[in-house]
Amino acid sequence: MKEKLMTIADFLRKNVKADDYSISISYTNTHYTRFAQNSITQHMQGEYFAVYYQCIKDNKRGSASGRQMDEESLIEMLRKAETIAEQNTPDPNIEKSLEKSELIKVDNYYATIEKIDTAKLIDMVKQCIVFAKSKEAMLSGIISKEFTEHIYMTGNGFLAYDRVSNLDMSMTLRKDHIETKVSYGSKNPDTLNLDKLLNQLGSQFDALKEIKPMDYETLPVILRPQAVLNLFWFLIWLFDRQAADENLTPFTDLIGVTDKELMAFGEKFTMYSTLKDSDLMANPFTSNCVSKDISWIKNGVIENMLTSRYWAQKNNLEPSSLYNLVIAGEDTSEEEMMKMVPRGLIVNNLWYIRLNDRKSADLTGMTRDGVLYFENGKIKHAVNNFRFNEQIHNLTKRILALGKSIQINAADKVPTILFDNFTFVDKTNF
Amino acid sequence: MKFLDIAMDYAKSLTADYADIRIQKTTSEGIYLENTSFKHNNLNLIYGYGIRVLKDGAWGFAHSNIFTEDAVKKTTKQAYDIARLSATLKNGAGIRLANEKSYIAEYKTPLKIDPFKISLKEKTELMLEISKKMLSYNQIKKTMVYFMTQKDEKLFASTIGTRLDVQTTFINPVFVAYASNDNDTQSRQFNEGGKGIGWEWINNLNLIDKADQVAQEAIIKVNAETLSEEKRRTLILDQIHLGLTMHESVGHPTELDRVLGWEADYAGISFATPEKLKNYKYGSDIINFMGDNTLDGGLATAGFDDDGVPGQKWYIVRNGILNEYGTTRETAPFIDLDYSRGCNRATHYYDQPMNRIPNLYLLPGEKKLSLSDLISDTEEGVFIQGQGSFSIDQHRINFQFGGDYFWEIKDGKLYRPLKKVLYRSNNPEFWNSCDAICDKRFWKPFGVINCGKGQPNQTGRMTHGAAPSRFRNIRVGGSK
Repeated sequence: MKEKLMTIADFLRKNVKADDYSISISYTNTHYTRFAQNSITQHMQGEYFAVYYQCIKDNKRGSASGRQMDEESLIEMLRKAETIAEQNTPDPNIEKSLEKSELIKVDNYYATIEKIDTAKLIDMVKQCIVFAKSKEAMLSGIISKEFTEHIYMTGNGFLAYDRVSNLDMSMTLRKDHIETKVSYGSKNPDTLNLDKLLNQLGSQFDALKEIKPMDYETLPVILRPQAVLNLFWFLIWLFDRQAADENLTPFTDLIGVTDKELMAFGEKFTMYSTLKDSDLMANPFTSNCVSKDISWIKNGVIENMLTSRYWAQKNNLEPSSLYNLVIAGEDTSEEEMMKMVPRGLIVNNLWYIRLNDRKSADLTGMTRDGVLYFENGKIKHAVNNFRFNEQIHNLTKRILALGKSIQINAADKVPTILFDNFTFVDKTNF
Repeated sequence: MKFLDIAMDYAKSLTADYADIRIQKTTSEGIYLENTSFKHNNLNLIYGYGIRVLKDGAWGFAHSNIFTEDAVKKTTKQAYDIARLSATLKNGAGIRLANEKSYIAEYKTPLKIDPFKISLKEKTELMLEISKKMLSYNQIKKTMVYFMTQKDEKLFASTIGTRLDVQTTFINPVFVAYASNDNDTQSRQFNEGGKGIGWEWINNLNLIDKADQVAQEAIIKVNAETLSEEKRRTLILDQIHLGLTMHESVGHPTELDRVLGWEADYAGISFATPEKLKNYKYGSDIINFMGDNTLDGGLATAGFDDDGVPGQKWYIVRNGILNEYGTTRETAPFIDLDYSRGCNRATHYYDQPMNRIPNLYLLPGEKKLSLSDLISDTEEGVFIQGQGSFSIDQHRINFQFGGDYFWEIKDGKLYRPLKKVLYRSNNPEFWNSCDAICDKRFWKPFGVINCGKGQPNQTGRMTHGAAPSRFRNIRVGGSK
């Protein structure tokens, strides 16, 4: 497929009529098997090419995108974007496209992804449904198989090719009041251990059999990795350099600040992106910049923020993109965490997280997929779900302990974290 | 188009129990202005076809964007093979489709002025004028203006003989002003949602005047105080705000696929289970929610859904009682219904359609009542305009909403502006606490263009609507 993509790229390059440009060309093959109530409900397969062209003419921007790769359609797309640019209003802040660069080699593709056919996917679902039936429960979920090849080139001489594979799976097991979920994702499909995943699902399910009502309060909470990931992915939406510089977030003027009174994050919190972890998906380039190892927050000190090419050029900064996410862990076990505080909750997952207020980074969200109450170092029983309201950066100042950082999906590794004084503000009746 | 017949004839020859093909071309234009700098100005074309085959009680779906006879047949066979294999894992009899007639029909969103025929120059000049108006205030430090226009052209055919030619168009203008003082930054936005209508809507919206109002209100908001404590208060909610509240707390819980547990792994399920039909007190007696895929300007108004079922109008909640769900041909039989309400929709050609919220709105009050009457009649409370934070549990019971602009009410008057207001409630408390709804003169639609649902995620569209309404005894407080 690389040759075909290169042929399309050559054709487009020869026909561009712009002062500067960037072109992204990709081929994607997808197969999604959805199941619910112990049956397959949707089953989708297909492949497509996609092209996205951005151009600059006389300091005016235009762009167009499409999915037809015949020469006539490609020419039509180029001319559309260029016509938009010609008719557009000049932009006083045009940024230059990426220049020719050396890339760090990362292997994001495993050929075994292509050997997973419809029958194999159905076999996997069947094994899971047999497991669900053994629990007299209902299973819902999805297996997603995708592989993509991608070329990115610019008018400033940047040209790069990458390909990625991705196998994702998630499933929720339900019976009466019990509802719990596990997920898997990796660029290397050979790492999927379905028996292990089902054992985890079964273990979570069994732990929820005895549920007691509990009122909301502020108390210590152990967030398991999926909950940690969902919570801190939301930080990424707030972690933009331009927004901070424009006084829209709480992180204004806080890069490099080491004064403990002024630091936005707690000293136990470290977050980075890396190309050196072979388990993790890491795109060697984005349309914003060439990827490199980058520390976002180290021991509570903000070292970098996501920075667009536009904002970087305007303010003489380095552009940066988040291509994967690692929250550094330690080695405290969940059992040890439970002994560090008199009582608290263990939360499997958080969801429907939304901003209450951007300037203060105040978030709300719900627990999901199982909440356990512990006391005197031991789990006592499951409890109902809760709503939380928390300022995400201030929460990191209340980290008491971290577990090992583990892979949650293709591009993320995070630990279990024990937080003190987690603020719940409401509860559910389930 | 010949490919419709090729696909359907071939599906029949393969012994499909049912099949349909949807050839869909989605053309969208997005223009994004930040202060006075156009950051994004894009025309996007997504064109291809999806083929759905039902065999032995299971679906197979395949898509392609290669328009040749061989490719169409190959894609049909792919869908058929997937269905046949999937049927080995069906539960009981599997999928059965509710009855439906066949139709040969056309539908087009009525447009006086086609928005795709308005020059880019006219659009960008208007956007710049909006932005400059907001930036003319010293305390406005940043603005964003976004115009989105989209056209979907669909050709649909099914093995029961239906042939449809559907073209829908919508526009969604949005702008935001950010005001700052020494301690805070707050935003106020204009967003009346998307609407299935031509550029004549934009011409009649007086957007420059609205930009002026948005900027002034952003400044009022950033300098406002917050509520000091959470307590039970009276709420008056405007039409735009209610659009989001009903979307989350009524629209999603009454999608039948969620009720059946099909979305349990991601979007969630529903508390509004079938035994509650015709008896569950969803709201007070004045609460009437209509499903209506015939609504003028509605984003789910398309003549037909992606099952080939015509648009309909029905009560989802009637006089406060849960009456009926939004259904599709595949979900309806699971609760022993042999008809669909026509709620099956896909986003793009490559998406398998699923049970979606229809256009769903709260009927206005029958007694004459204006917004100013309603405020005058309220001794103490909070008036919330526009949309802000929103979060709800996966059963659609417990929720928390913010808003965009807030006033405290005292002695029947708007007493002082507020910021960072949040309220928390649940089903059935919230809709049962509604004691007044303004009359039809104050009814207004709100079109949602970004309803996320499904795995992989699809972005659905539908229109809600309401008149300003009052809710008693709700927990209201402020964020940090």
